Amino acid sequence: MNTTITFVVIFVFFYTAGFAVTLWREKNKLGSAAVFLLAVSIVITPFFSVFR
Amino acid sequence: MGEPKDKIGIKEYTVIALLMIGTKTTDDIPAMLFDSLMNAGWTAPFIAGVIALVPLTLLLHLATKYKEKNLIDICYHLFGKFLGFIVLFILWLIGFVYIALDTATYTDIISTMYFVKTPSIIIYAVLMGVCAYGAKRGLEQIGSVSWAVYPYLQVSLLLTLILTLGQGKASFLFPIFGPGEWEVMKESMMNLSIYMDFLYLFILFPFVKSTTDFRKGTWIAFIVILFNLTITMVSYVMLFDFQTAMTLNYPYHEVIRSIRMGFLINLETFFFPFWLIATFIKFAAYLYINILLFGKLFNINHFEYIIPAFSTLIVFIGMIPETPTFSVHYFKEMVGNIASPMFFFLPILLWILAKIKGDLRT
Repeated sequence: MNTTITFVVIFVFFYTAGFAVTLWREKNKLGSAAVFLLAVSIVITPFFSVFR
Repeated sequence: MGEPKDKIGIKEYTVIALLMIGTKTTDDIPAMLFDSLMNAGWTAPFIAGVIALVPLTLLLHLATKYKEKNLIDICYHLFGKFLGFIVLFILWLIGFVYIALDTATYTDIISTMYFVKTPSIIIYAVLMGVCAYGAKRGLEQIGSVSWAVYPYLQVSLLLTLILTLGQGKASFLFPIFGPGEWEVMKESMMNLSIYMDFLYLFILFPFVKSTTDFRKGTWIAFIVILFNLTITMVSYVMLFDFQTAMTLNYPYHEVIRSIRMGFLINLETFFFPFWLIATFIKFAAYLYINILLFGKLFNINHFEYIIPAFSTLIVFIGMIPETPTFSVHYFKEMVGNIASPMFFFLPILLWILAKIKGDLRT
């Protein structure tokens, strides 16, 4: 189960971080920072819930 | 996807509102109300509804005056860029936390009442997966699906109510004001957040075909919701009496397990799929509005790309409480205590500012 969750976390992180990069290139720095923060929180939160 | 290209009509908008708010008596909201108001728990949705008339009327008045502007545009227009951003960010945060808590409750309902052997994470992932797909399809599709399934959902609720009221005792409703008139008023005021979704629905204002449709849809939804919530709460008290109702975390699911139709028992197998469909549509709409607000706040036009991130994050946050039946209930009360005054005072503040600015003059 943990392996599947890890794969999902990695996939969603890169997908979201990629979108943050796109926003940065489009000069939307605030949006890019917000989306990147979202991507980072996807990596952090499982350690307080499913990986506990 | 991005913003909807086509506008939704009055029927789609009305049923979205009905499903977002009307399903609230099927989760743990009744338990919260019975905890504090005992047998008078059923009066809270009605009194809160009457109080909610004030912010709702002001919101609709603003909608009529600021044509083509939704809550976001009006907030920026009246509060200015910085303060408007702060207000909207708080609104988004309340909405996001509420979705995480509410989905945790629904997952708990499914895993404790129906799929007891399935791990919660699987149920949560499936629930959010379906809702994320719904949100990804956009507002028009959410509206169409809502309209297609709503008659069946309403009929199934009506059938539950007829069976429950038929098997209940009206004497359990008395004394009508339970712990006292003042307590009932206070708790109803504190639970005003039941109707807070109307504030979020105001974000959809530019995507509804006309101002008249929006106004009419909101009033129709409000009246039907008021009736649905009150009658459903009455049915719980009539079937269980308040002492049993106070101990139940999810009364609706206990009701559909308890009632019988002639020789037919285990009616939950009939009602559960309808409830599940309503749940999927409700959270798809919630997710869509929350992501739309996030997108508007941070100038993200193609906000559909953050749907997977939002859904995944909601699953992980919703899984944090170890005993969701009790802790989520507590956190929801906390969020409700912040959201209720906000729902009451924000439209009043917006209306006063619009009046001062002279925008309400025609």
